[in-house]
Amino acid sequence: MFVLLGVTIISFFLSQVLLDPLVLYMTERTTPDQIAAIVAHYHLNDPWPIRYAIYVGNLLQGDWGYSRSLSQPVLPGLAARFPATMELTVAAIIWTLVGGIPFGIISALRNNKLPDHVTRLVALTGVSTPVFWLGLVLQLVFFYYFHLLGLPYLPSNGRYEATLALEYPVVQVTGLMVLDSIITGNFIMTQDLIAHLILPSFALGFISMGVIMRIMRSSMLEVLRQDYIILARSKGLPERVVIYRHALKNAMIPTVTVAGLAVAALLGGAPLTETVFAWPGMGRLAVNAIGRNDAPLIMGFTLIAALVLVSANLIVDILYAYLDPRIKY
Amino acid sequence: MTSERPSSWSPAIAELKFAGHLLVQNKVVLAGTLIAAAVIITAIVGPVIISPDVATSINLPIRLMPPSSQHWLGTDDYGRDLFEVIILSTRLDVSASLTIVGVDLVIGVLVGAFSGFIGGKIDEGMMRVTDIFLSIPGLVLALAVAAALGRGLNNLILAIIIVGWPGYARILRGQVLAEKERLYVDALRALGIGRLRVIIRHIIPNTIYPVLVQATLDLGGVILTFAGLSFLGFGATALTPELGRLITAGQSYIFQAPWLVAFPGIAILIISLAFNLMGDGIRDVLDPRLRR
Repeated sequence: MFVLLGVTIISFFLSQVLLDPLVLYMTERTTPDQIAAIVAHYHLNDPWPIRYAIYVGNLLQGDWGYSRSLSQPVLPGLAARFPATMELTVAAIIWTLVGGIPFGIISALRNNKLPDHVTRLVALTGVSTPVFWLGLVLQLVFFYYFHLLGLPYLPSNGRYEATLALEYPVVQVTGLMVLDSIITGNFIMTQDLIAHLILPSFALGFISMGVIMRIMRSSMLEVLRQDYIILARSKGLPERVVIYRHALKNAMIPTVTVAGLAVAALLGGAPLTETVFAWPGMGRLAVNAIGRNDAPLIMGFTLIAALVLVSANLIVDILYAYLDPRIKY
Repeated sequence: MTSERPSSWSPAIAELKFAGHLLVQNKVVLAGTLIAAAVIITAIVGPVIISPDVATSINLPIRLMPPSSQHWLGTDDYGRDLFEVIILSTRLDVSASLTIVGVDLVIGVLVGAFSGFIGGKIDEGMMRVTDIFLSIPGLVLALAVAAALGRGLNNLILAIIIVGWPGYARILRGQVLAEKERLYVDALRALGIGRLRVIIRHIIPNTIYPVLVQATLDLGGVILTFAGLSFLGFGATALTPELGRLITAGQSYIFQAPWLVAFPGIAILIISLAFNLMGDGIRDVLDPRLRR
């Protein structure tokens, strides 16, 4: 809560102090009288603390300012694109975990053998890959070259095929279109939506996959050295039980922490990935807003990103208690 | 590791030698360090060997040529030799990243050291400030700051700097909290040595290693952030040799001339990977638990 208040101080400073908010309301034909009226109406001549109080009050009331590039208020504009970003992020997290955890385990179990070296190299490459470039390369290979070779190819941009969506419109229930299409039994669209989701979510998830792999590997190595693992083995438990029942759950704790942090990386990657894949989410909106000096929208995106990150950390804290009963709140 | 080191230099040099020995032993890390060294040398020497004029010399008749023996990596949409432009770009990307991490390191170390050493309300306040910064995804905050500052290379660098320091401050503060309880600090204070001198001459040198490791690890990430924001149109202008910018330009020709996107990206990947390998190795070397 405190942190979120702090974030509003930053966004207030950036949008109201560093940038002149007056510019937002002016055109070249605004008369001096009108300027005076605008200044009075938006309290632009008041001292900063008062302006900040007004700013926070407006935020709390859902008035996040007016976006010029969208020609609509910021909050509804962002809210409309929030599910698209959410869908992309969730899909990316799935890639991250599905790729990261098993390979991390394999790497730890085959410590310093070939699979370990390969996994570590892949993990480091993941961390070092520019996400926007990976997105373009994936498009080139899985859309263009697969198309050229007559192979089944994946769509390169957008969230769905517009012509197909006209024929089988997705009824909005949650806003997460994949989920909506499943709920309403619109499986033709489910297929199309998932096909569109594969490349961008993989590009986005690939960075964090490496991080998860590395942390999974090191925490698994740490756990495997513990006495209770030696005990479990000396009891004659099969290796499978030792690994999956005794070691894995304990090794998951640091991994979950890092997965929470990975949400930050994913949100940060969203503007880049969404731009490359023409994905209609908040990130692309924010990038477009920059070109048009649309500060309220950019600050709105920043606030939402902070909100999501804080919530992600809360979920991580709750998961701790589940993974380690010793942790109580 | 830092615990038994007195503040004279000779054991520090012995330590460095030992660290160097460990570094050379690990081949992957050695490779990373060598590539990183090569990258930095390229960044320094590149513009000497290849005339910087290459970046602004437009030669439209040979635009979008595929890789050949004359143009190793092909030519871009201005007809510039892509290999030469990439070499020239390395300087901007590497020097920007080094500047960003360097400045962040100084800010973070000073804030962390003073905050941790002084303690009390100031410490509490500083840590809340870092909390706030850390609660916004780095790239998103950099984007917002860059948007508020306006376009331009310096503003982009400044934006990434503003985002980066809290991590270092946090790490160093944690170290300082433990370090300041040590006997030698009391001894120094009892000798009448001022706080400032104790912090700068004794506390910081004894606690800085983990932060240095983190900084090396971050270099690879900062290059990606810089190139990423550059890709989105901040920072470098069209003809400025910069790797992210090259990819933006190549994006329009991705199916027609895929090398325009592929090679600058590979260059970013190599630079970032080299720094990451090096950082990984330095961490292993400096972490006594991993030495065994």
